[in-house]
Parts: sequence; C-alpha cells; structure tokens
Amino acid sequence: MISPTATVDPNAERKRAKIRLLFAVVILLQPVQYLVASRFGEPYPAFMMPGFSGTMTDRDGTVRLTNVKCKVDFRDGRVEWLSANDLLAQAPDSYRMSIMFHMFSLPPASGAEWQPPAFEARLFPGLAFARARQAQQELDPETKEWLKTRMETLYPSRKVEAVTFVWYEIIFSANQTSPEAADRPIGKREVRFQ
Amino acid sequence: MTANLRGLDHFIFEEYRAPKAGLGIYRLLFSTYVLTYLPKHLWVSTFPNSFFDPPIGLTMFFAGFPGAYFFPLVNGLAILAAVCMLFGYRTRVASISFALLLFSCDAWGYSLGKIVHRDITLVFVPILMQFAGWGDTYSLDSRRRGGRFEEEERSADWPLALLALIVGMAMMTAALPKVTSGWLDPHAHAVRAHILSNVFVSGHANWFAEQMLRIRSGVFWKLCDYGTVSIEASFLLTVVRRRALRIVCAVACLFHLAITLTMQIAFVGNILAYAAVADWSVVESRVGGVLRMWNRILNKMSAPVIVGAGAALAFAYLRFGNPVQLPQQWDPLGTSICLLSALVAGGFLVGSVRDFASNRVKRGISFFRYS
Repeated sequence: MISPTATVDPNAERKRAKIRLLFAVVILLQPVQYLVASRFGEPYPAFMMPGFSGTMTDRDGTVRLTNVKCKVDFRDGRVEWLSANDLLAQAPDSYRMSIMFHMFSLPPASGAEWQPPAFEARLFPGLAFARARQAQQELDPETKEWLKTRMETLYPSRKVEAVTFVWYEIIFSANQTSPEAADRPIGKREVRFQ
Repeated sequence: MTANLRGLDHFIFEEYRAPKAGLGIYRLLFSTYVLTYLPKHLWVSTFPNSFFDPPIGLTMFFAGFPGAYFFPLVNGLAILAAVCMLFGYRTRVASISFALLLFSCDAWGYSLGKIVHRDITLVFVPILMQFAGWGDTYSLDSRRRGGRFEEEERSADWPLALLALIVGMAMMTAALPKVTSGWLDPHAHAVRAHILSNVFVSGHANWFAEQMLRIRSGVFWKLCDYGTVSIEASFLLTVVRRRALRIVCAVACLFHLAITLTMQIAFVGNILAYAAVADWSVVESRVGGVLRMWNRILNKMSAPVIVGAGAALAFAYLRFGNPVQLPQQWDPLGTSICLLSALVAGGFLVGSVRDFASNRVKRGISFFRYS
C-alpha cells in the first residue's frame, strides 16, 4: 500500500499514464471498427472474430442454403458437374465459397455496368476494380483465361465448350436432416469458350 | 483517486501479473505452433489479378497481388523470425518482426474476398508478449545477459491485461452479430442451420456432424444457440477478473472442440490467445527435466547457429513443404491441439469446481464451529 506521503516517481507515473491511454485507444477503436465494417466492409487488421450471423431459417423453421455447382459442357456433347471445392482446389476450403460469390455470382439484373469514379479508382484501385468486376455482365478476359486453363488442367484430353455456374437453394424442412428432393434454382452465369 | 479508477488501475497493472517463467514456457509453445503453421498463402500466386478483392486496409491501395516472389520471401523471413522467437534470440526484434511479416502476408492472403479471423491473434500476441517479457526466461537472451532478467520474477503487468481485453472485445464482435441477426429468436435454430450449411455447402460432412444433426429436440438446438452467444459474450464480461476469465477460456476450449469436430474449423489461434492467461509456471515442476534439457541446448547455441537453423528450415519448408501440413480437409494438427486444450481445460474446470466445493465445506465447518 502506498502511503499518501510517499513520493511517486514522475517517470513511472508518466509511463503508467501512457499505458492507460493505450487501453483507452484500444477501447475506442472498437466502435470505429464497427462503423467501418458496417459502412465499407470488414477491415483488416481488426480485433474481430467470425460472426456467423443469420439463421438462414424461415418463420416455419425451413432452412434455405445458397450453393453453386459448375456444369461443364464438352465439344463432344458430354457434360460433367464440378463443385466449388473441385474448381478452386488450390485455395483452402474456407476461401472457396467466398471466391465463388465474388467471381462467379449471377450477373446484375440491370444491364448497366458500374464504373468507379476516377478519384476512387486512383486512390483505392483494389476496392474500385473489385466492385466494378462484380457489376460486369460478362466475365473479364483474365478470369475467363484462368477458367479455361483450369479446365485444361482438370480435363487434359477433352475440349471444353462452356462452363455454367448454376446457383441454387438447398431447402430443409423443419427438423429434416436431408434436403428436399428438388433444389430451387436461383439463376446461372454461362461462360463460353471459343 | 476514486474507487473506480483504482479498480481500473488494478485491472491494468496488477490483475494479470504472471511469473516470467510461465511466459517463457508460453513462448516455447507459441513458437512451436507457428512453425507447424507456416508457410501460408503460397497458393495465392496461382490466381490472376482479376481475383483481387481486398478488404479495407493496407492492400486496398493496390490494384493486384504482389509478384510471385513475395509470399516465399515473407514466409521465409517469418520462419526465421519464429525460430529466433523459439530460442529467445533477440526476442523483442524477432517477435515484432514475426508479427509484421505475418500481418503483411495475411493482408495479401485475405485479398481474395475472405478474412480468416482466427489468425489475427497470431499477429497481436507476439507484439504484446514481448512487452510482457516472454523472452526473459528459457531464452538465449537471458543466457547472454547472465540470467539478469530472471532475477525479476514477475512479468510487466499490463500487456497480458491488454491481450485479455482485446480477446474479450474480439469475442464480443462474434456475439453481437448473432444477437442482432436472430440467434436469440426462439423459433430459429442457428447452430443447426450453420452445421447444415457446413455439411451441404462447404462439403464438411463427417460422423460428428451427422450424429448432431440427428437430434430433433428444439430445446437442444436452442440451448446451442444461447450457449454460443453466452460463451462469446462472457469474455468481455469477465475480463477484469483473471480467474473468471480463465474459467471462460476453459469452457471456450470445450466449445472450440465441439466446433472442430462438427464443422472442421479448428480455432487454434484463439486457443493460443486463451493460453496466454494461463499460469504456465505450474508446468515447471512437472516437466522440469524437459526444461532443464532445453536450457542445456540453449547453453550450446550461438547466434549464427540459430540464424543458420532458421534459414535452413525456411528453405526446407519452401522447397519441400511443411511435413505437418497435411493436404487434408480435416486438419489433424488443429484437431489434436483442440482436443488437447479441451482435456487440459476439462481438468482445470474439474479442479476449480473441487476447490470451490471444498472451500464451501470449510466455510460451513468454520461457521458451525464458531457460531
């Protein structure tokens, strides 16, 4: 116990004040983090853990899950089906659905493509181009080329004519552990090769 | 100073004081784990720039991924830093370098539209722990300075308190979105839906998930939802009392084991962060022989040998791969760590309950004796 008359080392006290300030800054960063995440998307680095938000459940207990599969059409008329796990096998499995959503989700309903403002494109090119790509009706040539190369790796002896990303819902009735017989289609994005 | 401020000062400067020997042991465990975890993100170079989708942060100022040499270079340096951290050679520089290298590697690795949250702890733990003095025992630094650090038995006080606060706040960011998105709704079974998604969308079907999904009791699933939110929120609510936080961390280890078994997501980064608040000095007496052997190894070590070993390990990992990183969907190492942590946590919880019960009995006896 420090007696009221005990002398306090001013250097130690200054150091303690700085440490208290550091704690205050860390606490104040928390609402800033929330604000940035809700307004612009999740920052990195951030003191955040995965939210697993949402229940994916209707009021009647039906669970609806969005999924995608890839239909591969070959020149000889045959068809094969690929999962996101097969297509993006190089990436860790936790990345695969995020990449599928970002790169191969449905083209926007409105025909107009989004062009980033010049200022945004110059200052935050990564963010601006990622947003512009998501608004494209057609896949950009670089992604198309990657997809073609990937098909050649997966099917070295066959010619691929088109890849169609089929988005659908898997539906589980309340308390059912097997999905309903038919998936509900949401839409598709087709990529044709020359 | 008011009572509130005194309480705050106690939390910052007293509550999380720990024996330095324990922090040294924690450094050995942490460094050993990161050497099983690196290299990472080497696969990013297989994707073209059109896949670039950065988060808000460092990489949003760029238009694409760095060159092909970036990831091997950063990983190589991080492995070298981790080896220095393990042996406690220039621990302060090694810890900060490791954290910054891992941060830059992750910043680019998370620029494909996905952030792996559980790894952020591996960035901020070394930064804080070097302030706490985790390099002051079982390290080459302490040998080089003639054991001068070891004279001061207790750690710097505040870094562990700050780490506990950060973990508490981070866990609250997991609890709040659940609360606001229907997890507390009595009609929704969020855990069940997420397991279904993990099985049918992510393709993580396994025996444990199947058994879990066979349970049809709505009460069970609702308890899972409430339990998850409660555990995640409890961290911040108990952060000012180390003993209470340790109990929450122990319960969370059991929770993470359940997630690992059913969803195949091993939150090893979290477990390592929780391990920082444990008192590892109690292990000293049980594995004294191993630690004495470690000290004998340190006596024979020199700076060039450690740097050379780090460089050789970096080369081997980058050339041939890390032998414990098995190309399997089920992460055997992560699962084993979660299982081990759950066993330790279970033992700790049983001990805590026993202590609590025996204290109550003693109090009862003294009450009857003196009343």
